[in-house]
Amino acid sequence: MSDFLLTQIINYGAPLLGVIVFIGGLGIPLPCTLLVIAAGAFARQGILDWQIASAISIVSVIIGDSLSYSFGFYSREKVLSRFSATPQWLQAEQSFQKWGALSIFFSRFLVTAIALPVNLLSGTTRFAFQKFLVYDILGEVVWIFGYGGLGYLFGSQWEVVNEFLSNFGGVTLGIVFFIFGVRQAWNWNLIRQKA
Amino acid sequence: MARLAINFMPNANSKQRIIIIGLTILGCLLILFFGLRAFRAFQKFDRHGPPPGDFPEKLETDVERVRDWMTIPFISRMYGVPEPILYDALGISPEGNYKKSLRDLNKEYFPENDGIVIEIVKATLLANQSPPTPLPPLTPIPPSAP
Repeated sequence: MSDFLLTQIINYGAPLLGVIVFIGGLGIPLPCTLLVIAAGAFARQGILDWQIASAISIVSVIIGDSLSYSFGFYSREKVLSRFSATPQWLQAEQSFQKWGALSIFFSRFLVTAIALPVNLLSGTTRFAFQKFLVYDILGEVVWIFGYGGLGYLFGSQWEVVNEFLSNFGGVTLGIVFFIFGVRQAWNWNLIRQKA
Repeated sequence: MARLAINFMPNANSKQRIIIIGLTILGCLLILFFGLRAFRAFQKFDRHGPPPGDFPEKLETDVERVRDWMTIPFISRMYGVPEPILYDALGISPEGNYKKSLRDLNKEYFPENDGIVIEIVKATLLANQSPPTPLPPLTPIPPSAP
C-alpha cells in the first residue's frame, strides 16, 4: 500500500497527497505520516512544491478531522442511548472536557493511532468545535511542517527518519498507557488512605 | 503481583484491577519493543551519508537507495542520469511507461525474472553517474634544511 501510494504521489503530486491525508483524517488507516515525511523529501528533490503541498495537506486534513468530529457529534444520541448517565460515561465526558485540548493537539502528530477516537469523542462529548478546530489546526501544522520538514531536512534518508518516528510513536503510546495505569492505581491508593 | 495489586488498589473491583494492570504492563512492553526499534533506527541513521542541511540537494550517488516503487523519471532526476539511457538499458519505450513503478515494469516486461528491472537500473546508474570531481594535485613540500 505504501509503495503504491508513493508511486502515485510522484506521479500526481500535491493534490493526491491532499486526498490521502483527507481520507486519513476521516479515520481510514493509511500511512499518512510516512507520506508526509516522503513528501518533504520529494519537495527537497524538486518533485513537489513545498508551499503548495503543505497548504493543500493542512486544509485537507483539517476538513477530514472536522468531518470525523461531526460523525461523533451526530452519533451522540446513539452513544447516549447505550451509555446514558452511567458513571463511567459521565466521568469520560468530564475528563475529556478537561484534557480534550491536549489530547487533540498531541494525537495529531505524536500518538496518531488515537486521532480518530479523539475526533469522535470530541464530537460525542460536545467538545466546543471552535476549540477543537484551534487545537486541530495547531496539531496538524506541527505534523505537516514538523514531519514534512524532517523529510525535507534529511532528504534521501527520509525512510530512516520515518522508521525512527513511527517507533517513537509506539514508545509514546506505551508511556501514555503506563502513566494512565500508574496514575489510576495511585488515585485508588489515595482514596484508600483517606478512608 | 496480584496480591500487590489488591493491596495497592483495594477500591477497584477485579475487572478494573485487571484492566489497569494490563494497561501498565502493555505500556511497559510497548516502551521496550518500540524503544529498541527506535534505537536501532537511530543507529542506522548515524551511519548514513552526509549530514543534513546540505542545501541544495546534491545528486544521489548511493544506488542502494533505489526502490521498486520509484519511476524512471523520478530515478533519472534523483541520480542525474538521463531517462533515455535508463529506458534503453531496459529495452523498453518511454511511451506509456513513465508513470509505472519499477515493480510494475518488472511484472509487465520481465514476469519470469523477479527483481531484474531494479538490478538493471542500479547497474545503469553506476555506469552512467558523473565521475567524482578529481582532487587537486598535491604540492610537493621541499625538505627542510638540516
